[in-house]
Amino acid sequence: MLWFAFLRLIGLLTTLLAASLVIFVVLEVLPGDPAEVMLGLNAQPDTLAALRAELGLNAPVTTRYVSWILGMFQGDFGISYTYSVPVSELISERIQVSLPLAAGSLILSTLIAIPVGVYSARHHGKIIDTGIMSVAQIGIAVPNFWIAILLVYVFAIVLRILPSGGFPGWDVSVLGSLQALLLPVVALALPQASILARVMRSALLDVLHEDYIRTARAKGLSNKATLWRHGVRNALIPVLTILGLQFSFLIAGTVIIENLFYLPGLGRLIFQGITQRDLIVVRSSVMLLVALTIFVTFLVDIAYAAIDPRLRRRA
Amino acid sequence: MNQELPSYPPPAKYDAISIWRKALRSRSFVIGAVLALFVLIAGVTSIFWTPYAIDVLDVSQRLQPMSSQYLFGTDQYGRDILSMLMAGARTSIIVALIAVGIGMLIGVPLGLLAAAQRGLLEEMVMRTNDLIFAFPSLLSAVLITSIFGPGTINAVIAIGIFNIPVFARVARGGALALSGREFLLAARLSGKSTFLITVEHVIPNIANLLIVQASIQLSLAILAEAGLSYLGLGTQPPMASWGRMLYEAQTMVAFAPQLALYPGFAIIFSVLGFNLLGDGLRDLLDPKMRRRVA
Amino acid sequence: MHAKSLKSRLLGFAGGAALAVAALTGAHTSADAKSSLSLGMALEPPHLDATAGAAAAIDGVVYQNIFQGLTRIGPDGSVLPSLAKSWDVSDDGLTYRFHLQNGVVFHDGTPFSADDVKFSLDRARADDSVNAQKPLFDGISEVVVVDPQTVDIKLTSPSGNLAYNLAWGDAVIVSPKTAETNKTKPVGTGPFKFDRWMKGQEIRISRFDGYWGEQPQLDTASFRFISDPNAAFAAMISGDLDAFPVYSAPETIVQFEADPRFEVAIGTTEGETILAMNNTRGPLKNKLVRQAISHAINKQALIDGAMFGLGTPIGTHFAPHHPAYNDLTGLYPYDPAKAKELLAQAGYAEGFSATLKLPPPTYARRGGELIASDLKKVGIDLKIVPVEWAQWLSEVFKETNYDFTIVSHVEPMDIGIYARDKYYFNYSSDQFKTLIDELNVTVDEDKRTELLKQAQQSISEDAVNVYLFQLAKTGVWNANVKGLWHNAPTPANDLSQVYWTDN
Repeated sequence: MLWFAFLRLIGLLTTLLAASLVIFVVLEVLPGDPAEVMLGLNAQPDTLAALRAELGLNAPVTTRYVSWILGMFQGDFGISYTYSVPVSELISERIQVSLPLAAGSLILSTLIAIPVGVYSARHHGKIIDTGIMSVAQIGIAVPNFWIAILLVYVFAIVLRILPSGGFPGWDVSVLGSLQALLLPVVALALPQASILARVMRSALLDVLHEDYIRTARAKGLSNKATLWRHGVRNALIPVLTILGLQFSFLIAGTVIIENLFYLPGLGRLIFQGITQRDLIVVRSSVMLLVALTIFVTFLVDIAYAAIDPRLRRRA
Repeated sequence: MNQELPSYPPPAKYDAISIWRKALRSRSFVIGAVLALFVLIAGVTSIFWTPYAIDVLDVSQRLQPMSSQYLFGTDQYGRDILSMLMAGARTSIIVALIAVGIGMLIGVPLGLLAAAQRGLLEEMVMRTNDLIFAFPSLLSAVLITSIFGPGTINAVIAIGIFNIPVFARVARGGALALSGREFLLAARLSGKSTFLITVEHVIPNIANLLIVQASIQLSLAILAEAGLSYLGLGTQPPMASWGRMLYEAQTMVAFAPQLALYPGFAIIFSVLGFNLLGDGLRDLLDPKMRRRVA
Repeated sequence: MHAKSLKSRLLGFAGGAALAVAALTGAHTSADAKSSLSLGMALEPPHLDATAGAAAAIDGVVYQNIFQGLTRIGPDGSVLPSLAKSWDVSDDGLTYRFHLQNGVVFHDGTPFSADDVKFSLDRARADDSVNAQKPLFDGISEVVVVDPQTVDIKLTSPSGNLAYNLAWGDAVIVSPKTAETNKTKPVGTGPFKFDRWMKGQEIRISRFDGYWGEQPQLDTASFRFISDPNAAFAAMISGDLDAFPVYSAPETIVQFEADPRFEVAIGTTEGETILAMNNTRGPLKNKLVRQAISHAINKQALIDGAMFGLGTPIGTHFAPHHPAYNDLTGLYPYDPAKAKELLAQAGYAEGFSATLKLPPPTYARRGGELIASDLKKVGIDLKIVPVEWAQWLSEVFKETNYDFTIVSHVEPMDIGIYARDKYYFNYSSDQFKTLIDELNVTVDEDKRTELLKQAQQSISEDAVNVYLFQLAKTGVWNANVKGLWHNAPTPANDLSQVYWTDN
């Protein structure tokens, strides 16, 4: 097990390094000069040159790559071209929005999916099961930004009980910040919940056919007790795995949702950074998200291997 | 999402007639096939004919309600919404088919290669896979389309890249699951080359897995295209796209909600169609999985 | 874990979540207190040093709120005194003497004096200056401190523009102590001081108690940055924002006009919106082709379709509200038949294909679709290529690698760009250059007007670009907010006179 974890760790580091190289090279190809964007139409050539030198854009490519990597190890992500503040500061501000958003929708989708999945499995084959699963099937097909548009229309424009977007900041108003995140969280969570509910249901159905369930029944445990004590607990393992996989999709989904609700999150930081050619911000933020995804995948792999020894050989 | 673990296909050949019989009894398959076919027909028809041209705008006809002249009304530029939806179906289908095609054509050989030549090569293929998986797909699609310019072709490439590891994984998993089977051992003992064995025995036996995965990936690709177009990075005017239609309709939702509803329904219809088709196909081709699917 | 506990925990979570949702939705209030204002802007400034960046968004936040110049531009475009209460011009026109306001302090408590004026102007003119509008200071030869309340500006040649140039946001007065940190912590002399900046979200300012002039009525204000027109609409209609002075979703204006909660102000801008043509590319070299294109575009339909009627047709590169405007809208009436005829004359009876590069603003992206449709009717196939500003600047503006583009020229009185060599539409006319040279040395107003009208006529006859419309400034705000600018003579959101009436 330890050897397996070690091998996977080496793989993880290689992937991280390769990812950093891909990100760096890809952003080098991006057309447009940050200095020009900052100075606008009437910029004089000497002014542009002065700014380029100030931004360190004249150094050779390899030097810039190496200094970026070394800087990251020391927690120094550079200074944003456009905002003139440390990138690490920007990222930590944005995480305060993106993390609650992603975590909130993960939690909400789980809270919806598990009871619904269990209920559906218990009524397997009945009309109610078919009905729930049909709704879930449709839920998977609905784009989250479409849900978001409808939610804004109903709750912000017609009813005016929730803000249409924006984020006041946790230190300014906790309640206001929670309000601001509510609609985005719901929009992200509903399609995820649909997927999870289906996984929960089928996982539970699988478990209920296992021998130990029959044994538990035979021991005289009630249906309900068997279901919750043995069934749901065991079925949660595949559900958690899917949850881990969904993380990367949630992160990506936040790009659209943060734009739609103009939340100052990481996804929008990257989107804005690309348009303003603030590449120093883009590369570190993308690197962070990629690292996060790789790490979560790593944890899922390890957890998997811990549960099922057969997999160690394969990975 | 939808990263189904490879299951173990039976090597037996199916009897075509009995499959069709089963197929017509499977609710998922029938509904899915009807929806997918409907979208497909709408898209194909739009190549030859739409009720109105979508690249000739007539502002005097803007925001018309539903009528016999304009079945679904017109948009803010006076374009016929039915025509736009049909052309949008074409965009969705083309983008999804080509993107998934890229994923299959590159991913499947890679996965098979990895399964056949275990060791260093496999390690390299799988690590590259991990690398691509590590980039949140939509985020990277945003990066790719901003770098190479927004547009249908770049959207196809961006979505296609993320289909490669999916198919590589499915193909490798499927092939590995077969590796201990007698018929493969028999083929090997008879002196056939690995390549020949792969073509003659492995591919036919993992085809059903690939077909099921392809229909799921098609629905994901349609969603991804809509998302990119919503952000303005996908299909560009004058070509229509459901995602763009949604974006443009957003400010008018208070007085012309139909503009936001139709493209939304179109996306849901087609994604639902391909998802159901995938489920239905899995029922038919892979009875072991049956129980799991509603 | 016991059976009951897991289930009850899950149920407990769900119940708790439901309660939390109820609490959240119930407590939302949209109306702000009457002494604060939240104002929407489409673009976030990259930083807040008005003397070191071209972005209009910088001025939109700081101009006349945080930073002030010797002079200022009023809501009607006139030049008014600001930190200089008055000024005299020497007889030879080469020395301007500015008399400064008394009792002015910077927000950090440092007193303001003539030394700060000299510092600021010398810094802006310096060789290593990063001032985006450096040419504004070209004529200045020396800045001399006479006494703490008086400063002389010496010119190399007489200029009628100095007072106007010094009113620009790029010419505001900064303190030497804080000049280096103004990008993130601006310190000026204005009625409001900077509080905090949540990047990507908003900037907050509050009343500066030590302000030398009349105290503003607002205690605090926040500028929120919403680039997406859809989100801007939702934020306004739901009451999250009090004002959106330059509002970017014209199709929704009707809804605000019909709603008594809002006031809609349609004003003028200096933005001539044009379909720019690369005058050295393929068929566009031919004047007949350019004239054909001018005839092929239905400008009124464009204003209706892309801007929902908000915009004034123009026939040339000049603002219609200016006295020297020459109305040339009749020169190229919408006439596809005539356009085809001209194309045939030029040898393009079958039409041709070209690309249309569109920058991000609404007018360009929407207008582009309509123009592509119009030109298709006369046989010209346009491929639409959306670009970001960064790409537009390098590909279109700098490298002139484009056929068509749509852009609004928001700089005031900029017809002179047609006399520049290698300017991005690559127009070159000796006749026009002569006109502008003559204009530059002419002082007589009537003669200047005459020359300006000739200049307009000249570029329109050459059909250098297609002149589409003058961009309107569409402002939307809460009906109880008073004192915001209706027009946009310069990019600014001057909040010093803004107040709330009783609800």
